[in-house]
Amino acid sequence: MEAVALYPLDWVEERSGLVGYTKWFLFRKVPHDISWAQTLGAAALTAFLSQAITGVVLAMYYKPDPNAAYGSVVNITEELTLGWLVRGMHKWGASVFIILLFFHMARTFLFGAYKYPRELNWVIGVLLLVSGMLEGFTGYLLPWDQTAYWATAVGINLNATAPFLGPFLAQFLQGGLYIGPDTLAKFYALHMLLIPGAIFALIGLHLYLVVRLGVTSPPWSATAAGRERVDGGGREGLIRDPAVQEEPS
Amino acid sequence: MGTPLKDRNRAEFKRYKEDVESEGKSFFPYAILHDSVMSLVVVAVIIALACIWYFTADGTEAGLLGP
Repeated sequence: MEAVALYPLDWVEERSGLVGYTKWFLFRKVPHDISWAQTLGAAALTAFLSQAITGVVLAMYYKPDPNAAYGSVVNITEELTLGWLVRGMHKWGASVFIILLFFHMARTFLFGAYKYPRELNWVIGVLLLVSGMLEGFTGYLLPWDQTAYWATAVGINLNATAPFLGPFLAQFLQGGLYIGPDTLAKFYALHMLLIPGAIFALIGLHLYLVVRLGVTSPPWSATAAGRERVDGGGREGLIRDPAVQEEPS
Repeated sequence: MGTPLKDRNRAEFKRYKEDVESEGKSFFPYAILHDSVMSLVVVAVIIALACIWYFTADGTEAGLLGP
């Protein structure tokens, strides 16, 4: 009976090694003193997954055409079963996602988790923040109401004031002389395909490096992993100035 | 002579790996439990915001959270 139940797992394991990898992933060691602060990454990931799921549902009913976009959003909110909930979750989930990214970055900075050998993961995190903000900017136009239109006009004009690349970036985003059908189609494509794809790829890389390099201990932990031990097995003080050189022996 | 920063960083990371291996705890169930609770809180907050946004608006006027 047990052999029958385990057969699918054995089949997958023999062909992919995924079962073994999952076991290793789940039962790998993390520092004993991790706290709730280290859950902010998982929280941000959850917010992003919520955005992805609600976004797919919205995309099934949204029409990226200036004559129909606003009507389709009203239809989703007022007519579709639980459409208000899906749209509300997507609208407010975007803000929650960005806020959690900032909290996660603040935690990483305050814990010194951006230092060697995690510098590359910090850079990927910054790219994720920029991608998240771009996702918010491109998504803001999609309801195609007055607020969306004028907020996007301000955003594009702000981009245009940047030196050298600014005017080209503004022209690319606007897709013409004024904000119209081309702009909406372009923002929809960026919001639906390019930026989410980039975020998924960056999150994959980010998680790979988190698993590979490990999670840092809180700086206030008296027994932080990696801290130098002093005689008797304890750890040295919390603050160690790298500029202070040891005496020659 | 003091240890060059690069060597010191490498030694510290090696020590980190050894400490985690000897003193650390398993990701499952300890850390994943915290992550799961936090994820549930995030989803609950997002749903709560959506409900406040929708149910405090009356169709013409924006609700507590704006349009």
